[in-house]
Amino acid sequence: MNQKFNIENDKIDSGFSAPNNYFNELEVAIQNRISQPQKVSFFNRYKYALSGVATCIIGLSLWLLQPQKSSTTIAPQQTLDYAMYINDNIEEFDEELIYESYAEASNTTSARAAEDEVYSSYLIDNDIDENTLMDEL
Amino acid sequence: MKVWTDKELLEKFRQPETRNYGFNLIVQSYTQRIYWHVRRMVIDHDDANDLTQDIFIKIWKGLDGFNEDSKLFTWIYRIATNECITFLNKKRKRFFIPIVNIENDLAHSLESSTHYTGDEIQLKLQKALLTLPEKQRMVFNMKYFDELKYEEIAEITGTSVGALKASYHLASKKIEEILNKD
Repeated sequence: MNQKFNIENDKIDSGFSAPNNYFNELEVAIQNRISQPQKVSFFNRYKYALSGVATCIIGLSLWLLQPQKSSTTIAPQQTLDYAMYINDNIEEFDEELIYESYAEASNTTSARAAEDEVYSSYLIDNDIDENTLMDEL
Repeated sequence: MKVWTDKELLEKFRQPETRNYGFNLIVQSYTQRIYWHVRRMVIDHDDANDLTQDIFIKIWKGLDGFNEDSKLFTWIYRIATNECITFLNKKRKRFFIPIVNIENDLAHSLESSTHYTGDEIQLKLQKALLTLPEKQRMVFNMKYFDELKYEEIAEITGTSVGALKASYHLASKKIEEILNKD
């Protein structure tokens, strides 16, 4: 080819052809397909119900198959963290515990002593014999 | 034969008593343009025939939802374009054909087709087109053969006019190069 081809100036047809009377037949074929009742497959008809059932089955299976988790289970990393924290602060823990225990014991003793005192005063004031009272009870 | 405007066609389709008649008018108005648009993309007549029918079934089902944001003709072209791309992608996946080979397959269909009557230069042009990327080929076809405006192609493909101009320019240069090679 000696002549340089230029796409803008030299218009070339596509070269495709269709069978005789094809477009009339195509129009009829389209109209026939539209006028036919659409066949709905079993899956399409029940697809929403089927997907719901499938979801339920999968959910139930997962629930049944998963190992039951204990709520008191502590992950190994958590246990390690606690142990390290206690080890680092063991002195503070001991002191705190001693002070707390002492305070609790002191309060309890003094409270009981106060109660006993009130009880004895009441018996004396009302001239009640403790032994007689115990017998009656 | 009366040339119907898109507005008239839609009015006929939307009236229950003229719905089928309105759709038949749409089919008459657009079948040829859509068939050739599809045929240039899928090459084979039987594939183009099946696809064109499927496209019009989709149009029939979707026309109630068409809200006239675009022209009827660009909406129809968009459906056709998407169907062609889906078809070619499916074909590629079905036969596990890498991107280069499907174009060889299409070139082979072109040569062996009884419904291809192009001369030497036309065949050469079609083969050159098959070397282009799919979307570039689509844009070239719409501009060169269908003589659509860039704005219309932009509406159909959802691509900017600038990008379309660049795509068409690149495609043209590549085709000229191939055609001027021998």
